Amino acid sequence: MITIEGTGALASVGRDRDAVFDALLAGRTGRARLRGFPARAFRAQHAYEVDDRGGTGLDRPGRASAWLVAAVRAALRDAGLEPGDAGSESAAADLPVIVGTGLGELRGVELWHAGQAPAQELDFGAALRREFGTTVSYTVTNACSASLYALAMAEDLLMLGEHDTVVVAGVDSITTSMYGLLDRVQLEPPEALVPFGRGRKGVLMGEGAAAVVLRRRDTPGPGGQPAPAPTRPLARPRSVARLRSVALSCDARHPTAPDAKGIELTMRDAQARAGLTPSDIDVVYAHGTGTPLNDEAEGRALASVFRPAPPGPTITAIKSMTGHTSGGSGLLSLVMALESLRRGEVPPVGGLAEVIDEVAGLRFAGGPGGGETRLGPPVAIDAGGRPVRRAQIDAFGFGGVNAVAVVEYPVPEPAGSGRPLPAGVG
Amino acid sequence: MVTRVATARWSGPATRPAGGVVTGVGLALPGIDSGLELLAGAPARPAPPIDPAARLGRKGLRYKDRASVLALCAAADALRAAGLLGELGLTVAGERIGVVAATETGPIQTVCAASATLEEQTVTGLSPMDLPNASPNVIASTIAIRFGLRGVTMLFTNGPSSGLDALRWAATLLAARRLDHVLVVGVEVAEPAATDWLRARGLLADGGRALDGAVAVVVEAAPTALRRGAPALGVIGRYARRADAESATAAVLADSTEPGPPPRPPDLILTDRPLRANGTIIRDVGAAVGVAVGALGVVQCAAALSWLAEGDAGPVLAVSGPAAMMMLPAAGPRSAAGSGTAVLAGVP
Repeated sequence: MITIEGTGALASVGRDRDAVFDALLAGRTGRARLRGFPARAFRAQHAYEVDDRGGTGLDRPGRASAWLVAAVRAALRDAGLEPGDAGSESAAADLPVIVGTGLGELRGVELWHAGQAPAQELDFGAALRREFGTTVSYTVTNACSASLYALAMAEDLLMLGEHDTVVVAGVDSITTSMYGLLDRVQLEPPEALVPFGRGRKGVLMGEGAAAVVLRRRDTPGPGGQPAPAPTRPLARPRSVARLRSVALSCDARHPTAPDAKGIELTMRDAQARAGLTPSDIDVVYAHGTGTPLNDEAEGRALASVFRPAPPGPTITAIKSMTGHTSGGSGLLSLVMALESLRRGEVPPVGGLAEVIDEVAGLRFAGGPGGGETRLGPPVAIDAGGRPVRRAQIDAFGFGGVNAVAVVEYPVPEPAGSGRPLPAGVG
Repeated sequence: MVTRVATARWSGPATRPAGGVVTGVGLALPGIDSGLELLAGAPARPAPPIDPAARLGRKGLRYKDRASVLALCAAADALRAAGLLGELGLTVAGERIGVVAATETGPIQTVCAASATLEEQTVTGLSPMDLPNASPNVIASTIAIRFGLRGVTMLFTNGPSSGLDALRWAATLLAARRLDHVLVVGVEVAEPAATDWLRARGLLADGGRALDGAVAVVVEAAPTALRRGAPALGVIGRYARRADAESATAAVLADSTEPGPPPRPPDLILTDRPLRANGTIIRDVGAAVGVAVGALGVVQCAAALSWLAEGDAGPVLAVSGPAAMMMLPAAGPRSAAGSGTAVLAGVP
């Protein structure tokens, strides 16, 4: 069993996990006029940026690295692993860190090319080393599903018994090149991002970071070695959730357009890997980018998977308030999904007055027809009589790279002999 | 061109297999036709840049960035050499083949050019066809799309250890049963913004050469390779990432706690760092291909496979950034006498 022992996040709407979740619940958006880029160069004028530049029109490299470090530090603390001060001997130094990102520190390359900054690393290894003494880190640059890809890699490392604890993170800051090229291809510049909304105009980029501490707590999967003996303190119970599965695939069809069938297969694979069915899912954090193509494809896949299992999960899409935080978005959704499972509340999809036909009949938090933001009765009860809830998190990227994760909270109490419950026991 | 460095059939690993077996290699390196030439320790013969259209045909290459098309050239040859790609397409299910790519310079030209165009001409000056190229993983997804590879597709931009990291993750994805076959590709480009950036980062000396090419290898679980009757060229061995090259090397060479005979020390060390080693041959493949950064580990793998194809050759140690990896013979009798214990120490 893999547990999620600590989480951390920040985004345009808040500088820590709880602030972000509270803002999402309140329907607050991080949307604002462009802060760091020359606005005259673009048709679109809005983004969901982290406001940390110290003034409009100023920009500097390394912002993504700073958010990454903050999110990882928060997740380590939440897991009861004191990271120590920057530069000091850190208890976290020997933990591998897998970072999923769409664009890495490419904004730094743009600033260097414009003569505004020295050339610095593209990857996050140096920042993690400086801050935590991290010796083993991997920067996986995998478009908008990158951080859930990173999560799957960590799952594999743990199940193979190569480590007992792994840190996973996702982060992105906006590049002018990606912002500009998206602006170039969208018919009309969107003023806001409205996932699954009829009349939506497209995507607007956002910024932020998220991190989780994963741990192996029981027997290995197929082909794996037993879990190493724990060498670190276990987390406080509040934090512990369970990672049930991460499914990965590639559509191998189109450079930018998603494929409904590939997305659906990945959702079904994630549920099958968890030993669950669509009716076992309480809440879905959709990818929901607000582009015509993503929302149609993802909407068709959601409908195909969940319509046959009424009443179906509560669905949300937080990019309506955080913007599209690129490769970091999957893990940001996952950290927020865990808060939903803990608190029983789901952020509303902002601005969703009317949904597209593809998702008709599905239940969107805050959506038309009184879409509930309180979670309904849990679909599962553990051996101790406690409700257990599950969330599905979607992330899809350019090149058709798909990732879907399933998480569960709280960790079900074992029935009898200390073994985990069979999947789906209610 | 297809590089057939060995045709031996797999008959069981000579030492404990830490990862998968390599069953195909593809090179897209100017002036280099075989992996052995990577071991010359001298620049490759003067040659024009790789011409992807000449190797792949023009179809499907329009609007693609150079890193992607160089990677395609190497990928096509590796898939063919491994017997995964035939005249009629893939010979196995595309869902079971993944792509793990590694690069440092791949996205730099696109990103810098688009950013400069925005400054000078605003958004109207941009080409919509550049959109996919602004996302670095276009390299991996372009390969996946061209050949219908529908498994896990990912890209490492992890600095100089990226190539060896990619090989390690290929082995991990196989061990976790997410995939049966992994195409690992290392690619770097010598476009103007990319080489300027390498110089600014201190990775490329003035007058130095940067790699403009790609290497691909196919890695599979040993039983899969055996079942397919695929040529086994070498085995991915122990891997370590540490704070620096010296500690990673020491970790890979350390006495094993694993059962069985102790691992044989390397006969050949591939590294771009100055090293002292008693009785062990040391080569820098960068001398042949130029500065290879994120692709270095995959270039080293191709060189190692050529070495391993030579009769009774012993293991190869590759060191790339703060990562080290052993590459082992796939088959054949082990030499009674190795080359002795390699004594490694960094030379300041």
